[in-house]
Amino acid sequence: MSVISKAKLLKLLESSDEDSRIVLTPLLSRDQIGNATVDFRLGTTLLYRKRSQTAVIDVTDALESKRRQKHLYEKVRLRLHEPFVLHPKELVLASTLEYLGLPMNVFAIVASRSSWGRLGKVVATAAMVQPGYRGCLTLELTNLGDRPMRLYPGLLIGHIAFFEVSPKLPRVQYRGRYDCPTEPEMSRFFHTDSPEESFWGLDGVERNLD
Amino acid sequence: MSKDSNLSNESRIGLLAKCVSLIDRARTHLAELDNSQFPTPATDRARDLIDEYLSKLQDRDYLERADAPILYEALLTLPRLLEFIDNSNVEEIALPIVKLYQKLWMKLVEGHSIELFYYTSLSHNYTVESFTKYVETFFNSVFTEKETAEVNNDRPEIWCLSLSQMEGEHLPMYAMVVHEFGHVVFTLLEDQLIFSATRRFDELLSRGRHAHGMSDESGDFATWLGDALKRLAQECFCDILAAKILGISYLAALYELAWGNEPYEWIVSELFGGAFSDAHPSTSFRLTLISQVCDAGQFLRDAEGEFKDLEQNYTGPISEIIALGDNTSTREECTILGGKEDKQKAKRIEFLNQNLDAIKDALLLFSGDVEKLLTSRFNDLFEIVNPSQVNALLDRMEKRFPPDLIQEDWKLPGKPACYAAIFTASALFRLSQMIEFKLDNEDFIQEWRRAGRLTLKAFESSDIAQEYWNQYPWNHGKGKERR
Repeated sequence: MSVISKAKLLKLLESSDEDSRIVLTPLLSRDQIGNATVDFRLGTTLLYRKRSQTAVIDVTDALESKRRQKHLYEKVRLRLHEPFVLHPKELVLASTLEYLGLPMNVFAIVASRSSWGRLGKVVATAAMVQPGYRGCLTLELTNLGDRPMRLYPGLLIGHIAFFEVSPKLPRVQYRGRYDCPTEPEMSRFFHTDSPEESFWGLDGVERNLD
Repeated sequence: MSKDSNLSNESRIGLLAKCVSLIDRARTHLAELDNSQFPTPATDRARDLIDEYLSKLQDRDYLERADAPILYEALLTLPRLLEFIDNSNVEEIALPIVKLYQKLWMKLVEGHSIELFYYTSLSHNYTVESFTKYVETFFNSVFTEKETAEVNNDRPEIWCLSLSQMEGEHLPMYAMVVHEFGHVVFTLLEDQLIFSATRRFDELLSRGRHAHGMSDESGDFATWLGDALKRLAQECFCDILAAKILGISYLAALYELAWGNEPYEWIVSELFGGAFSDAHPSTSFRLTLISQVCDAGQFLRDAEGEFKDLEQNYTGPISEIIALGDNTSTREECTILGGKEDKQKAKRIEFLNQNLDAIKDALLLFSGDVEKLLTSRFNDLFEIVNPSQVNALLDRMEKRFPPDLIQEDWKLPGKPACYAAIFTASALFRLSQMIEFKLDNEDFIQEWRRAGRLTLKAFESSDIAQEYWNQYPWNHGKGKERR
């Protein structure tokens, strides 16, 4: 598996071949394309967790899973230059402004930009994006610094590195847990109708979260 | 005699105390709402309007002369009024949709002191209505006309648009909102439109007078007929405006809306006692008219070539719509709903049916006048959407990408799609799914929702791209090397 460099990335972003095309839309500036990564921007919708009486998060607790949707999160929709304040130690779910589409032979890794890391804000996890994925990427943002920080939709906040997968996977419709999301999505721990979901006694819970 | 006069002074004071408490609670509730959550500043203005009425109710002079039971009765339903403001919140309303409608609205009512705010409703529907009038009616049992006029003095008229909370389920249908805007525009241009309508309907009106002879009833009938024709003309006007702005997507949205209804029925609605309330041309006639305005036949011919590489059939639905809009059907019939079942009603139905062809002809002539008027006033709002653009966007939707950009020869960065093109691709995609629907297709709901999400994302994405590239073109930084 090797990282895809700028020249090849540009070719894949402009490819007419559906089987090899990478889609990242809207890609606003050519400057977002670096030598080995593409910068992405903060999207316009955020979810932040409300204070609640929940003592512990237990992903095998069906009731807790059902509550996640409406009761534990607050949604904020922002305009392009409207700020959102990320407080110290707060975790919010955001998404990329860009909608990503990967062919079956490309895998991606998402990471924070170090400029933000130095200020204390990080994209909490390095998300792995599977071949064939379609959608905006959900980002777990947290502020590890000691001062509140203003975030604005449209800011460049992280980057994506693309890797070639070899041999190429067969072309099938992506059937992951997250189907073409365009806003941040809450955690879905199990695949719908999977043995794992049944094993933990959560049949249909994830489906009902739609 | 007012209800108040039956009360003892103690009871009256007690009831007024409850009223004062309700008013105070409502005002506090309104003041606590965070205006940064309002989609547009017009919600703030709507809040101020309600607050002004409520503050008048709290006035000592007013309370001393108030009819306590009537005031209390009015205040019991106050939460219904506050809900408009409560539900005008960006948490529930998608901002790209607001931005799009706001742009259209501002242009359509340019030069008039009219504002629009947005709220969500639990209904799968949308309405545009005058909030100023709604509030006026709400308080008409407790204020005189003079007092109401004092509140409204110098304020812009406020209208409100309700959108479904489940916006993703309805996006292609949102094309219909522009038709509703049309009713507001019709009132603004009424003088010119009535002049044209009167000219086109003159012969019909004299036929109406003649058919009823010179009896006492003929005056009433002529007024009734004039009103009915005006309402029909207004509906046509709204359709033409929406078709000029949204093209084929409006045609598709209307077709979807009327799905399963009798397409050949012209409906005039009456209130009991013969008072007139509403009138709608048949779906078939409306589709004919809209097809003409957006040249659906030419679009179909071009689309047959352009869409040939797409996976699904999108020209089929367009052909069906055009066929349904065949204006020559003999099945067209006029019905009067509601009203009193009497000889007069039978006569009215008979007249309308005997003269249906003449009504259609007059409406088509009137529509020609409308097109000219609209083109002279709003030409910069009318986007020409060609099938090749729609083909590119449908291709993106089929591959599960937002229909936001058109990449000619696949080159970056692409060109932001206009809202009419996005609506068109989305509406055709949706219609095609509906036609292909099989009851055992479990993926249908997921696909339906996905189409809604992708459409909404496309509105946002193309709008941001447009805004960004207007200031900083794609090659602005010349792709300089970065560490």
